[in-house]
Amino acid sequence: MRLPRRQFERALQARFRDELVDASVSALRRSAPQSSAHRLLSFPQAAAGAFLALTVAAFFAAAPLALLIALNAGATLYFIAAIGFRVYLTVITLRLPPKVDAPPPLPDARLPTVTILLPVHDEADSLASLRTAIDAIDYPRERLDIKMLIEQDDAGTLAEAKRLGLDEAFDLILIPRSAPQTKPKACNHALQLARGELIVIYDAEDAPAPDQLRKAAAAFAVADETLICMQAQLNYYNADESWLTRLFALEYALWFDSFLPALEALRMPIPLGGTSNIFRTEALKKLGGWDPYNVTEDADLGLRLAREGFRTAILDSTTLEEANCQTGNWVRQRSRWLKGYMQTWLVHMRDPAGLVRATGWRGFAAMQLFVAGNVFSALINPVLWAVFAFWLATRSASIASVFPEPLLSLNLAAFVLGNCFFIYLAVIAPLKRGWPELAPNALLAPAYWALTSIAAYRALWQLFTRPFFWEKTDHMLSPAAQLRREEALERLKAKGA
Amino acid sequence: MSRFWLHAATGAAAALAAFAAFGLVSALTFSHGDVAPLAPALAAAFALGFLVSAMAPRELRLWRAVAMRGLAALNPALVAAALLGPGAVLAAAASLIVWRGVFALATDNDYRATILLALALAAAPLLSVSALALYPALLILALLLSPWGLAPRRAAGFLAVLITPLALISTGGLFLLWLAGGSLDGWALAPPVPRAHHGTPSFLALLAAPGLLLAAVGLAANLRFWKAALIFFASIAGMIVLTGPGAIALTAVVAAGHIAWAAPARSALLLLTAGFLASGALALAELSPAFRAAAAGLFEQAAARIAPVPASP
Repeated sequence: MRLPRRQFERALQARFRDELVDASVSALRRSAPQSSAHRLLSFPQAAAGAFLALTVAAFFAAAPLALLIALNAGATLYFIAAIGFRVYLTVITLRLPPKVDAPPPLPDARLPTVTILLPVHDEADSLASLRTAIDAIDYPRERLDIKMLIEQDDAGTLAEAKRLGLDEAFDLILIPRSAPQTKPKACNHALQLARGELIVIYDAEDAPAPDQLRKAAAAFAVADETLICMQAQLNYYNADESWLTRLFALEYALWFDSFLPALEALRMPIPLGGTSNIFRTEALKKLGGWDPYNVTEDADLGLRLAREGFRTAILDSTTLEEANCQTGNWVRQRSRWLKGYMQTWLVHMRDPAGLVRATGWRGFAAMQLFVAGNVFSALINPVLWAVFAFWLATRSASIASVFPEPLLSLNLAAFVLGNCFFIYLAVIAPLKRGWPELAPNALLAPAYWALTSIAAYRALWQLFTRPFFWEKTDHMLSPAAQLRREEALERLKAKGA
Repeated sequence: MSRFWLHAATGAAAALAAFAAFGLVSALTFSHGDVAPLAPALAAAFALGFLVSAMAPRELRLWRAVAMRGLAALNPALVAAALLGPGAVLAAAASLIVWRGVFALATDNDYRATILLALALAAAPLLSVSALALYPALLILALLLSPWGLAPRRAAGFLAVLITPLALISTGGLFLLWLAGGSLDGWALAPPVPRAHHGTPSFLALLAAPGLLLAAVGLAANLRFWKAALIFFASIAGMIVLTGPGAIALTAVVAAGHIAWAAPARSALLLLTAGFLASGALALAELSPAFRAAAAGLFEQAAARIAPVPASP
């Protein structure tokens, strides 16, 4: 008797349900506990933190002014280093040749099987567009292993998936309810069932470039075995919708088009984006998959694979997403990202010496200035602005005493040059994409930073109160996304789906 | 008619027209007893003619070529330059070449060259406040970009990229100055363009700083910019033979022709850099008292030869 493959796989999943759940939640925690964010702080970290807090308190009691000056000097020097690092990355990007010759495309017969993971949660409205985007991928169907991951209790998404015929088009995998209820846990579940030599994640609102998988397959075919991940560039199809989406698009352009290629060129660890990263499946399995307790499991994985001596490359292909166009929703999304960065930094700083050994001093510096820098600057910015505004309004001597020369000059230089530089970075970010019309919006960047700071404090609060809570981002809020959905529904209707 | 001949014919016509116009201006100034150096006027006319030719896009239809030349002729900067004298015409011609280069960058999406240009433009006033005159010129460019096919919002964004560095540096600098308790009186208005010989704006100073910085940054960023250094030395050699205005005119002509007929934006920028460097070197020399004295002596000799001062009774 021949059993259809899907039916067989479902039977297997049902039989080994508990094992799958256990592996998706605990595999990394068991194999490499020091790499899991399951524990927020290791014992040495907690002890060091307590010692530092006590030392600061003691100094504050004994010599408060000296302590404040020292903290001020430390923050200023860190800012200057972080700014300097970004200047360095920008120069590196400018020196890169504009177009690298792409490896020759592979004939269909030589294309590897690719597993596409589509984790969706409360995304019923996104499914039609997602189906259309996946259908548009230019890759032989028989070499695609498409798995849609739906939480077991997400009845709305499941019903809509069936209504659209996705249970026929894709493998629907129901993720059993277990803590933590996160995207990486769902992906780990599916990783164990993946048939592809390569594996890629797309989010519900993604629209990858149709030739993205072919490009990735060709790049992997000519690369050595140390290259185990290709990160496609991300940007937004509704970039020009509001000031928020424009600034979001500028930020993404800066991140994916400027900073990450420079990190790649320098062979430094690359914090991955949450979608459109294509892995060699076996290598990913050996790494233990994603950390289900880390809410930016992507960034963590990028650093983890760098520590193991593997490489990530930036793929010259873009996945378009829906930019968050509502402020509250944006803050929630950003707070999750920043919380994840905090988790990631804490995890990788459990063994700083090991980090230096694995990635070298340059990788270690990149970790401190790039990953930690994002969080630290968002946290400290409002404090500095508030102090500055207070001093400007009152010219209070108490504030002035914390800024003795030459610290004052250094501080002002960092303040003025840093802000000007970051604004200009945002100005030039869209040029590479050929979107100069977005450039003037960069002047609104300080307002965007203020929102980032709000998100950073929310993230800090949640880090201690709900560390594994996955702050869900609502999609389909943009008129452009809704239009895409309507078009997708029309198309599916025309195809009889 | 092939594109080459179209450009050649219309460019030559424009050059002749400009030569005639400036010849007329020169004649009028002679007749009024004032002395205008003829050689720069000739150089200006030729530079302008080829420049006007250069301003046409590469893929050109006849009606569009005529419209472009009309636009160029009506350009307020050119009109103002014509009123100011031959030296200013050269300055305007060189500025317009900058604009053409800028436009080429905008349409080619050459983001690296655009950034270099923006940084050079921003740093230029640090060396010569005269370079501030380039910014109004860039704004005028916005009016010219749209008819050439760049959507107004896109043109505005592109210009924002070019202007933002100076705006940020100025704002930051003024802010620091204000914090330090310095006076802002001197900064309320940009100092006027310095006037050199016979009241014409010092176009050399105008062009010096952007060129030097552009080349410096460019050399650091891209090895292909080494070509600029070679052309720079060639320009210096040419300048020694032809004297300053002649060398600049030559550079303008070469750059204009190159832009019009063959060059991608980056190559055009190389030539611009070379021209700027040549003029920059001359401007630096111009600042030296010895050079000034020599130049003044030359002008007096020329004036005496062209229109001898009648002996007083």
